[in-house]
Amino acid sequence: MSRLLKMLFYLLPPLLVVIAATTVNFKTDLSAFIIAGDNVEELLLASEMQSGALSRRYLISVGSESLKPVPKAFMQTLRTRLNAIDGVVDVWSPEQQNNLEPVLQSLYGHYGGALYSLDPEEDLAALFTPQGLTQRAEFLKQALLSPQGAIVKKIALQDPLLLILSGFRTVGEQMRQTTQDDAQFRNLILETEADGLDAVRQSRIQTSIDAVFNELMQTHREAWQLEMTGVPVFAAATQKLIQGDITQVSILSSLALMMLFLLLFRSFGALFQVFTLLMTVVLSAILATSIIFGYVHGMTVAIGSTLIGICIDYPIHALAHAAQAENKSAAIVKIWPSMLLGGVTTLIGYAALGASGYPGFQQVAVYAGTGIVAALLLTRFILPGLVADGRRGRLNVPLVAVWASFSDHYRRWLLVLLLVLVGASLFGVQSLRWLEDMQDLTPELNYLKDNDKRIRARMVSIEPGRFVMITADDTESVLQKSERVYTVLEQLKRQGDLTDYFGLYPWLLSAERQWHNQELLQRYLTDENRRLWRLALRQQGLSVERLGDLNYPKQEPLTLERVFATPVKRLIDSRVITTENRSVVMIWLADHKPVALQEAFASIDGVRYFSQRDMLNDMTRDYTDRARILLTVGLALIMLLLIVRYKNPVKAIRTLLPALLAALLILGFWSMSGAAISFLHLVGFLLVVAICVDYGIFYQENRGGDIDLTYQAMAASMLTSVLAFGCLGTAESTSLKILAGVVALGVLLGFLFCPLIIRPTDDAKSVGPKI
Amino acid sequence: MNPIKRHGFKFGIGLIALIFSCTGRSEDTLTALMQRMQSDTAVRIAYRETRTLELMESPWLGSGYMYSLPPDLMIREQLQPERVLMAVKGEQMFYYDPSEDVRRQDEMDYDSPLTLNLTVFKALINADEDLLRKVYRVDFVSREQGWVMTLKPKQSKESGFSIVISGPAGQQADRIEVKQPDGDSSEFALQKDAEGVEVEAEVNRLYLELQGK
Repeated sequence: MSRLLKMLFYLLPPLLVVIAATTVNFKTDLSAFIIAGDNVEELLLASEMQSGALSRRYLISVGSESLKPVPKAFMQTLRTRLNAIDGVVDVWSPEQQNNLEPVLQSLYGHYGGALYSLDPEEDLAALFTPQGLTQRAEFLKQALLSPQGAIVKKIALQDPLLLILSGFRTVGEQMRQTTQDDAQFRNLILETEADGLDAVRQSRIQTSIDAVFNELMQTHREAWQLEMTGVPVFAAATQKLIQGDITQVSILSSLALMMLFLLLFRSFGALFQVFTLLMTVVLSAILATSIIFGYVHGMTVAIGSTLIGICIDYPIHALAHAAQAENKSAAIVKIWPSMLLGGVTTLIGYAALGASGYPGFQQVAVYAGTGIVAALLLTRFILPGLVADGRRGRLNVPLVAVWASFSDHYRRWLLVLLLVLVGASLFGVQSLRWLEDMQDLTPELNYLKDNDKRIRARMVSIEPGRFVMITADDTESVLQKSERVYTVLEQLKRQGDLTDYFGLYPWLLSAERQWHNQELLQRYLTDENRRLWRLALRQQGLSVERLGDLNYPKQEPLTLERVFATPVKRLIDSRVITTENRSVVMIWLADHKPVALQEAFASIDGVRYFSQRDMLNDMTRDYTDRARILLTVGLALIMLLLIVRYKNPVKAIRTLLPALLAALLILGFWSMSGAAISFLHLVGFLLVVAICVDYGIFYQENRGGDIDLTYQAMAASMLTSVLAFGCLGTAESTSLKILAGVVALGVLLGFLFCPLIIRPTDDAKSVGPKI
Repeated sequence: MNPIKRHGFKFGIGLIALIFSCTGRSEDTLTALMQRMQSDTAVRIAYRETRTLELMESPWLGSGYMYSLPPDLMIREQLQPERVLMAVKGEQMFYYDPSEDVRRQDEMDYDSPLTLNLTVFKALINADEDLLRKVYRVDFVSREQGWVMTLKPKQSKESGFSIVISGPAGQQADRIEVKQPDGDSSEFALQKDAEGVEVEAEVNRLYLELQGK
């Protein structure tokens, strides 16, 4: 290789670093890892979770379990100070309804005749009786005598029967429950400008919230605490977790691999050559991923860092075989077919990872796939030129020769032992426990989930993540469907299956229902009913002159847009999502019996009881099923490849067997330990097979003709893989730990089984002459 | 409980404060008046309330007693047209409607316009003239025949809302008039009824009743 070419090779990483630094968009937000369903409604909800109004809100709770409630004056000061934080749109108290009273009068005062009831036939029949009208006049008098009399007066002049207040009576009750549920704590809702998943900006806001509170607390002796929850809190915490993992895993695995390489090869020159090659591989993978996806996610880099541990295998084999060969290039070329076949089988494993459907893994697959291809090509076409002049000692990994010799001597007994273990594993596999709750994959976030549950319990009686979801093509249709649902929910309340629900009524009804209500009311406004009303007014001492005319002119229906132009928006915007061709209404639920609701809505088109947890668990099952299929397909593909390569099914099976048995033993181990198996374990098994089959191939083909050396090279590459995945196992993320644990253990077992299962002497002869 | 009633008790309590707080002399200034405010004995005052509302054919009448027990307990016992108890103690407000057996307790909310009167109460009971002047424009007039204090909210002084408290020279308030921006008004006629240990015992009994003890 010419000096110029060598120089170009060593200049490649810095050049790629510059290109990557200037062109690649690195992301650490969670959008790529948000688990969305596979239907339109669930995707809409997922999108709402990422950037909708709800995602941008914090629920803040201040107080202490043991102290007296925080004074409202303190909360007012806190609210004012929080409002001044850059990026905060508004802060309000969930029980705050003062600013709704003007809306009630100015907007809803005109719509009494349209929004008064969900069941106008029954309600009007009860109202327009002598007794009903007398009671209504009594209520009107009480309301006028209350301190809210000024507002009631304005409403009564437009709506003497106070029809609009009928619907709002339940809202008043719900709001009052909110204030009384946990008097020890005072709560605030804070809305930000930034999306909930914009973890960088949200982290800054969270720091500012804490700073404002701590500053205020300097003048108070009480030990009040501020707690917050919401999508932004989860986003910031998860990002912190991911960033910590990326930094830790990347640095640790790079340093550990360098140390290991140095220990194995005892050559700084080789270290420099191989790690320059690996840097080129990683940077190429980053650039390729960026070109395909437009960005590179931090998690991809974290998981992809294991790539170094896999890609280093090819130069390790090359260096090991070239070390003492006269013609080093020829030695590397000689083992190239084994490397290529091994690379292809590993690629199949990563392709399956990408096809698992788990968010973000597609990027990992592309990243790893590109890396493997780049590593193979560089090992084949560049490395021989770099190592042509050097002379190194023979690779000698401790205990490897001992194990090879031991397994050769006691093969029969060891095979019996292996068979027993395999039998036990097969027996255990039957009692394998499958993971059913997706939340078990993220126990590191349990403290946030507990925190969320605790804070929400202080604020509302709504069960988070459970609601009735109604979908239709447009707003009017979805409102009409919702009205049918309210009737069912009322029935469920009467049966005791539901304590309360929070829909769009009385804030809004469909235009169809508003017209219907108005028309029906007109029919009741007869001379006789007017006479009865005036009589009732006189009995209560109310002004017949000002209130006696039941004049309810027909109004154009109230629209969602008009409601959203008022402060009512922030009360109900979590209950409706509208896009150009889809509208979704979410009716939130208080305590309820899920089965009763599921059954109630099972046969209503476009309506379903939705449980976020159930959805996630359904998806867990889907992912697991998909992972099972991928495992089967992946194995079949690898098998097929080996059969094509060897034109001998027995030989192909023997090559694959160490990998398969390693995976099977891990399965048995997991089933005996009682741990639940997730789709991540299955993906891990596939990676084990994809990586271990390389060992089978190298051992089977033994292209260097020196089986001891081949096994030494395999040991070195196994150690690098175990080390890389071991480093991944130090991550805090449970998903990464699972993946790392399965692969690291599987790779070790696969390596150990090779000399037991594959007879090298026979095979070595069949592949080709020694160099 | 009807939400309207809930806020009603805040309003009523505000008035109690005004009644007990205001005594004056011919030579009084507001500052001097406020310095003398705190009483050291339990007091009972009989009241008659007349509300004149545009949407009612005739004025509404109510009556009952108001009690004060230093340092910070005030109770209003409305007897006519139906019995209702309301109280404020420190920062806490209490409500009890025996006919519906509804009890409620809440903290004073300085944000709410419905408890604007309570700000007056807090200011007067603590002799906090600054707080009073922060929220209200205060006109205090003292003459030979009596004194008059007029309070108008600072933020919307042209709104038409006002509280006028008046009393004979050197004596406590005997009349309070609350005028709403829409022309409706309430007038309280007050008469000191009793004071001393017996009233104190009555106040404590009513306070326990309010708390449901």
